[in-house]
Amino acid sequence: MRDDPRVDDRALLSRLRAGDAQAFEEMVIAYQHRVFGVALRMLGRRAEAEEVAQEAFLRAHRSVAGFRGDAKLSTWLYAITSRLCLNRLASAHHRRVRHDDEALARVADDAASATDHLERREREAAVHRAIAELGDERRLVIVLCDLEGLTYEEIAGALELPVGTVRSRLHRARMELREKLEKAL
Amino acid sequence: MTCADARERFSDLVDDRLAAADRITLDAHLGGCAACRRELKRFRATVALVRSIEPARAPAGFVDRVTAAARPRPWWRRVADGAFFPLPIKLPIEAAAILLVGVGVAYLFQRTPELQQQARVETPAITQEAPREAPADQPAAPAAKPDMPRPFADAPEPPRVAEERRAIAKAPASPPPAATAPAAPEPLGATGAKREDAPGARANTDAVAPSRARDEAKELARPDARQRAAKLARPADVTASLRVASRPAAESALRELVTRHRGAVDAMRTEPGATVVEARIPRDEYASFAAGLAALGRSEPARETEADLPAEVRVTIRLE
Repeated sequence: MRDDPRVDDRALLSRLRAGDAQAFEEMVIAYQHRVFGVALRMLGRRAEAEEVAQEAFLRAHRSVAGFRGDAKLSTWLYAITSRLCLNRLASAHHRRVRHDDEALARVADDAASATDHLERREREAAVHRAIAELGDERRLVIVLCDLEGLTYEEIAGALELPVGTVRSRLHRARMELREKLEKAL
Repeated sequence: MTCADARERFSDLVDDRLAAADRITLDAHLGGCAACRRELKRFRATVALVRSIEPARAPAGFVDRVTAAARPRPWWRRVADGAFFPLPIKLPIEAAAILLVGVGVAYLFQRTPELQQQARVETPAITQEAPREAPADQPAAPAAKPDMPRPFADAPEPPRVAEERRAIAKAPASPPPAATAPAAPEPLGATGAKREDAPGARANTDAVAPSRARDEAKELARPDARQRAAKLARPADVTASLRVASRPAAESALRELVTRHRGAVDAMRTEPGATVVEARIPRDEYASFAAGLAALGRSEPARETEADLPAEVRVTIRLE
């Protein structure tokens, strides 16, 4: 997993529980891209992803006293973010405003802008589109595992699922992606 | 191991989670199955492609916005947020609650006067009751029923009159009040009426008056008394005012006069400065009654209805 080795979870957690405002800012700085990334891959819109990511950090700030610390701080944040994304996706409003190719292309363009490689950009756009077409639950495990680098156990902890379910869901998602990408590319 | 079993283990293989024994079995299958080898190659490429996507980055200023939002809000802001937000949920609920409270208050307010009215004593006015209009469905005069028998020839005495008579009979005799007016109808009171059950002695009207009021109250409280009152609500056929020297004496004399002419006193009530007597006289006795009435006191012009008097003439006499 792409952990930031500079972040000491245990010390940070102690300071967060003590109400250290600086500790909260450090946590946001350390995990902002990961939390935002999950929200963006799940929701497909940057504004909505920022809204959900902000809410995830605020909820963590409010409920840090109840966090036992038996999991990584990042896993805990992923769990909060995942729950918020799934709730948002399940809302009636979001069902009316589904992903569209334009939004996915914008996400792909943002990701590939640094390389400015047409083929890469097209490939990434196809991957984003294929990921967006997955069901919500399959998309989430793909994002957490293949994009965010979580292990099966961390995903199981974050989503409160058995490891076997995570494994099965991930395999089905990858098989489905393979079919979609072979057609697209 | 079948091809399906082998392909089912591709994710474990790619993620290096395959147990050693399973890895050996899978490798053996892949060594002999070109199709599964091709599938595995495509599977690995897909996973690699997904993992190669550039990670997303939070927008500029994200940390500042989050830390600003996490700062403690003033207590009034927290109260306002708790009371009004989210608006789509809390506003309708609060509006409905206010409406419910308003409806409840209005309902109670409307109900309270009614309850207060119900708490009031349901006894009708006794001394100040004014004659009411007769019900529309009741004929104004018994003339519409020509075959109606003469009501007072052999009719039983009204109960109230009987009660008064008994009260009068029980009251101790006392000298009559000073007769300052020459028209004091003492002979009438002394001789009594022609009827068999006429009172035999003149009563002390002062002693009777309080008991009369009680009797009137009792009488009017009876259900049939209310019905009678409804019948009497129609305007009198004859009204007259008599100026008398002594109202008690005049009241007694008037009773005697009514009884002598086969009539009945329906009501007697006290008003400021006067006593009002309502009675019924058979038509054929009315002329004689009127003459006797003139003897009681100085009469004001009487009012008589233009139409022929009914078989039962209702008279209202005001003794002043």
